[in-house]
Amino acid sequence: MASIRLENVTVRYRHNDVLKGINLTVEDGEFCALVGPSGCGKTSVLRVIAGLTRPVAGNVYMDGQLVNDVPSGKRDIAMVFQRFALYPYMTTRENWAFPLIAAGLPQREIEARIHAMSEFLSMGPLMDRYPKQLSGGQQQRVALGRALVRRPKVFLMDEPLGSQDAKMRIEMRAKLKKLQMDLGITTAYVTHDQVEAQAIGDKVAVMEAGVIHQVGTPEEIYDKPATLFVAGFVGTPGMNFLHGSLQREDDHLVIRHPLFKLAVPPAIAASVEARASSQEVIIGFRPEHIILQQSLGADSIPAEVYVLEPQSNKLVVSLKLGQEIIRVQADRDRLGFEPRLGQQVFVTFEQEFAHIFDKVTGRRIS
Amino acid sequence: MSRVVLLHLHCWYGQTHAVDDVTLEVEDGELCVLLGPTGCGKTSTLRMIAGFVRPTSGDIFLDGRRINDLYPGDRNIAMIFQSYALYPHMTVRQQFAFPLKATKMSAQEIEQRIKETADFLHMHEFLDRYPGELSAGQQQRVAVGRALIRRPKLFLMDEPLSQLDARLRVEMRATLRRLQQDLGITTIYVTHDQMEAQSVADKIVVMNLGRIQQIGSPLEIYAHPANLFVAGFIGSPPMNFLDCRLEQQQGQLYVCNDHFAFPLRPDLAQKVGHDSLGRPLVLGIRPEHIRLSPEAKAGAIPAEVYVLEPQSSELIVDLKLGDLILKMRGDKREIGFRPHLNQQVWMEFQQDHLHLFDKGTEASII
Repeated sequence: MASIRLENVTVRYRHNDVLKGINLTVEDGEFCALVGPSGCGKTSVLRVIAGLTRPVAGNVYMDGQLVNDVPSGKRDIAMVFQRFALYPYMTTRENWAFPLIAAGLPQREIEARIHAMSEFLSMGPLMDRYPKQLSGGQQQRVALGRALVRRPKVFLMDEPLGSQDAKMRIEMRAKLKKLQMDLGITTAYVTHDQVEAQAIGDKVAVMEAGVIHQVGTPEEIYDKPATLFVAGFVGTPGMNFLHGSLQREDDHLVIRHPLFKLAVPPAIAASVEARASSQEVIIGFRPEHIILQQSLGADSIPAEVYVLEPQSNKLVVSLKLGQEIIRVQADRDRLGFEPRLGQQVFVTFEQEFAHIFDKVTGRRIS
Repeated sequence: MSRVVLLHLHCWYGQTHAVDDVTLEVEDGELCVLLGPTGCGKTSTLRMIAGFVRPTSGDIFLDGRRINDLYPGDRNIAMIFQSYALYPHMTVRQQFAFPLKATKMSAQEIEQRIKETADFLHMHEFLDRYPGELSAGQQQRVAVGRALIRRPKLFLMDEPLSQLDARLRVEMRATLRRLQQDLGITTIYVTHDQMEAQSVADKIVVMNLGRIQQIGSPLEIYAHPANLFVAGFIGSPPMNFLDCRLEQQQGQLYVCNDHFAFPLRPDLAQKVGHDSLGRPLVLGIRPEHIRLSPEAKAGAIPAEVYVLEPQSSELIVDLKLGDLILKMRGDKREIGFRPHLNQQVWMEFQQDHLHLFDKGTEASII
């Protein structure tokens, strides 16, 4: 049982603030994925929780207790790194027993825990092998097992799947998610891969340059990104951004773009207007929320097919829309025609999926 | 006009048969991707074409001329590497001029070529900048320009995007593809990333253990994989594989194993030879070709929701079927209900997209 709370935590290396007063809560039993580009501070967050880095300001709480002055070894935390850091001269069994012997557990208890863990991770036939006799995925399981066998209060993982190939990463992330759910151990997980973060986290914290832009469920950060950064970082291919200006027309609030006009739904018009710092806004449409057609329809805009990228059952089409390039992602079965390079096609934006951001502050206003 | 033909190429490194009987034609203007895991022979094949490695046996033709015995510098082939390998101390203009100076071309003609290349790549305003002052996309264009200015017959690219972060890689592969199409220059491109291969290729050559597994368009490779290796390598999450056998009852063929038995559609049944009856087979179904229902349906297979992985507009559902785990992937809007953990659901395989493989030979049956 453990919850983690960071309160206004600032970490400084020399004159560089790598964490700028961040606040984050991970509830008991929750799986929180920290995601962001390299250098965003996500690993520093883990180090602060682990007690390996001391913040220059702010507080760290575990289960409501202030732990700023509790040394790392006393926090009952287990860490798994990208490089597994297994003891090369120890077998799987010895790697697992080591932290338990160090903790002074009785021999019988150690054996019982190791046996249970080997069942859980299906390591039975590999218990007496040395790390170099194991594949990457198996070494991963040894590293996880060594951390788990201690039954820590908190699990911290830093790109634990980073050294696996693409297929193994997809397989392992589902296993890890299941394992964490079954054990109910509070977990903070660092990755640079937004696809992985969405798949694995109960909650995702998106970071950039030492600040947390948004914390939410995978659905929240995808459906309602709080800032332009989150909007552009989450989802592949990335969201399309178009410049527009907010205007009143009769009684309606609209956004004008040289090629189209977007009606702001009346329900949110007042709040959009109140939150906009100027007329300048950025409209975001995800590639999956733009409809591609062969012929002109109501509200559709002509565009030219610029690049075609097949992607399994989808087709990603880059289009030249005036001077801009936008991307559309369509289901190949449902598209109804086979776009050709240079062809003139027509696009319709699904207006209910428009995201509106303030151009100056970068914040969501819709 | 440049056409590449490889005939029965073999490459041995000591005891290792790195390239095993590769025969391949690349048409003029085509972008051909050599795709496969580490050690599959793709880079060795590329290096033999470039002239860095001598084939143990077999022939390489460029435009009908056998080039096995030509030095790399005499083959009129340009290579683009992972890091672009730009000279950091040279401006774009100097980078462009460098390969031409080596050919003792007149200063006037060099100027002319630089102008043409800069026109083509829209690099005029950047001619006097250093690589450090350019974005990744501009650096890529410089690398292409420097290769192009020699007017080579063939472009070879070895993982040209692997150093970029995920977002930039997705963007750059589209610009690279468009550029290659505008230039119309025959290109052979090596990658281990199946998504990248699908997105840039006219033709994909899937390799494993030194041998070609299949040659085809991205759609052919995805929709009609020739064997288990190709089926499992293309697509993400990968195709689900289930051991099964075919049984005949009252003139109807059933696909069966310990967990299910469903009738094979008559048109598919016709494609199956009688010798496949009763033999060990593998059923292949992609995650995107499984339909889920919250209620029991005739012919549907009951399973349990094991893990849920949100993925932007889609959801990946891990399904437990006895001791097997299958993955299904679908658009959240189209799944039609909100699956929850441990829920009992019913799955149907879309027979339009069903694959059967012989377990022994691993070859595709349907």
